[in-house]
Amino acid sequence: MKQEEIQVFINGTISYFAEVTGEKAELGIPYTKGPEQLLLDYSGHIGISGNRRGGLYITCPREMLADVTRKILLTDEVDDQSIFDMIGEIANTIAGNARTSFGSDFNISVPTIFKGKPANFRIVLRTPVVVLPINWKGYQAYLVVGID
Amino acid sequence: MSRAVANACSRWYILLFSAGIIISEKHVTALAKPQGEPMKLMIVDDSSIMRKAIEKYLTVAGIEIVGTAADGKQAVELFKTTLPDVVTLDITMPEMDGLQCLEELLKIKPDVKVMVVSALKDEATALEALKKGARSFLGKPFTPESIKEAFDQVVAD
Repeated sequence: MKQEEIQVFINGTISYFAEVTGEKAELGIPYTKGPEQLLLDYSGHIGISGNRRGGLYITCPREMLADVTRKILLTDEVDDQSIFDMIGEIANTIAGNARTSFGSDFNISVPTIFKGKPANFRIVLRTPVVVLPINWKGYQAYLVVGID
Repeated sequence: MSRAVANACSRWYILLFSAGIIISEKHVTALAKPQGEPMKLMIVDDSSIMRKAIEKYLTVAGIEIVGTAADGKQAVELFKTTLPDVVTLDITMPEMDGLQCLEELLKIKPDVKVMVVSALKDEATALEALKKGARSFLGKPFTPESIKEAFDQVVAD
């Protein structure tokens, strides 16, 4: 991916958290992912097809998702299902919004969401895979993008 | 704000890309139907968070939520029995996507007011939804204020 394409995902992530929660996320310096596993409590993956191929996923700690969910639903009480669902919605929105820059042949799949580090799940990404560290309200999360 | 070409019926639409909203030009204010009955709303989105959020943000006097669906197929079946006046409709969903679903809903009830609410907020997708008969297009993410504004416009159209 080109630098300006990485910037699309940086801008999309910053804009997502600002619009949805009113509190800006800060993005760390992107780096190329090695063979290490990078999965936190919950992850949401989107497959990309059409004019580009590969995928992306966002992985977050549970408390961060609970906090975002509380802000969206305007309540202090959130259930596990909502928190689980939240990760898919974040991935879907960031990937979907990227279509404005990548064009209408940039097709996104429905999100696949998972908890922890499932042994049998294969995350579809194309190399090189770029990691964008996200810091929101002191929580550390990652957007991982692998699109050819 | 800019104007763009409308659908096949030569209607004009105002494109509010800065807010991610595309709405019909007409704007009146009442929410309830003229006969005083509540306006019936159906919410279609594969994300339970989005269904809950839209329900919460749009639950106002004069609106009755008649059902929610998590995919296009489910939405068509629910639509046949509830015949809502207004539908909020996601695009990226399993089973049947929102644009296919939109066509099916319009075959059943041609005057239903469909507001597409999607993360695919590029201009081509928005215009495709409008050409297929959606009354409005709202990009995700949305705020309580932006969805209420877009919804009021659709209802008043």
